[in-house]
Amino acid sequence: MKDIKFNISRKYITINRAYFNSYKKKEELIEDISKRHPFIEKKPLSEAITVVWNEMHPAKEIQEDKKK
Amino acid sequence: MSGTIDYKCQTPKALTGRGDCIKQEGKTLHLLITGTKAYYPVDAEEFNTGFSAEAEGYIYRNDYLNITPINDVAVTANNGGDIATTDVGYGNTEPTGFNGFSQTYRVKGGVCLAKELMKLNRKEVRVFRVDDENACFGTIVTKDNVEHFAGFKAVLMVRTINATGTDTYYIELSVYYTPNYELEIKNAHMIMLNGVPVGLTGAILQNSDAEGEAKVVNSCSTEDITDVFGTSWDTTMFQLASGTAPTTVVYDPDKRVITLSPVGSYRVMSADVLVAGGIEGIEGINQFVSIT
Repeated sequence: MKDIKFNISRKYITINRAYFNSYKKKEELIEDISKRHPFIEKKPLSEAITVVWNEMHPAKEIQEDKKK
Repeated sequence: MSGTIDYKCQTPKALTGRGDCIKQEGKTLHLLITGTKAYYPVDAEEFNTGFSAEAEGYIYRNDYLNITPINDVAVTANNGGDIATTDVGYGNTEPTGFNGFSQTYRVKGGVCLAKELMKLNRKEVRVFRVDDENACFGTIVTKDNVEHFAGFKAVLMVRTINATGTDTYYIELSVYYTPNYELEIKNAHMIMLNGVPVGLTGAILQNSDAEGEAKVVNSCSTEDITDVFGTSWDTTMFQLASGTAPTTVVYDPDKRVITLSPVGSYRVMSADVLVAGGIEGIEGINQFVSIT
């Protein structure tokens, strides 16, 4: 399983995918990463994680469309 | 007539004609060291493919097919290998074979390389010689009717010679070939290499200033290599003492450090893992360093 990678203000962040997947709520994940790396700005971190989160957890309507 | 000694000479005839393009073994510039049971394909393309920078590549793999290159060597002496003869009574002189053959090489490098090479002392190994045209010389070993490419069997010894007023410091590597060397040379095989394989350097973590911050440094010289691989560092390349990977790794190119989370004791993973993530030429040493 490849890591999740993105860059915020020249801080290259790599997140272990198993750790990422262990969270049911995006907000809790953002909070935990933010605690672990307080030098990363929270707002861009939250935005970057939201993008990845939405790719991995598509809205229910989209999933149901795909089933059809 | 009574009694026969029915022995048919098995020696095939010697084909002594010469082609127009003659390959002679040139100056040895590199040695490739393998285990004694390391057998490789005789096909040149297949053998060359094995040197690719991937986890299964000969330089990176952790099994019996691993190859350790020793680069930038120069032969300083060929010792022995002379024809041994016997002379009994008034009879003529007869050759009995060759006496033991060994080669002495001067290896370019410092104390760090010497320390690594001394791990090979007294070990029985196989040695491929790579000359100045990238021609890799070894022998053919046949197992179960299949031919394999293998190095010449030998025992290695390494010592260092300190600098004097007239000479520089150098590493001396002696290669003692086995009594089978004559047979191995009779079955010599050569493959042109597409490039010269380069040896690995060791890497460990070094604690930095802030919590969880670390640098990746050369395990002997402590030269900082963190930003050489910069954005390639990921969570698969480090391991906590408990055996698990970190949850996050952050590389900061301005401070030239990585931050590992959670804090704890970490090691850098082995070369096969690192190369799979795009980091070539280094081997993580199995040594845990406390990152707090």
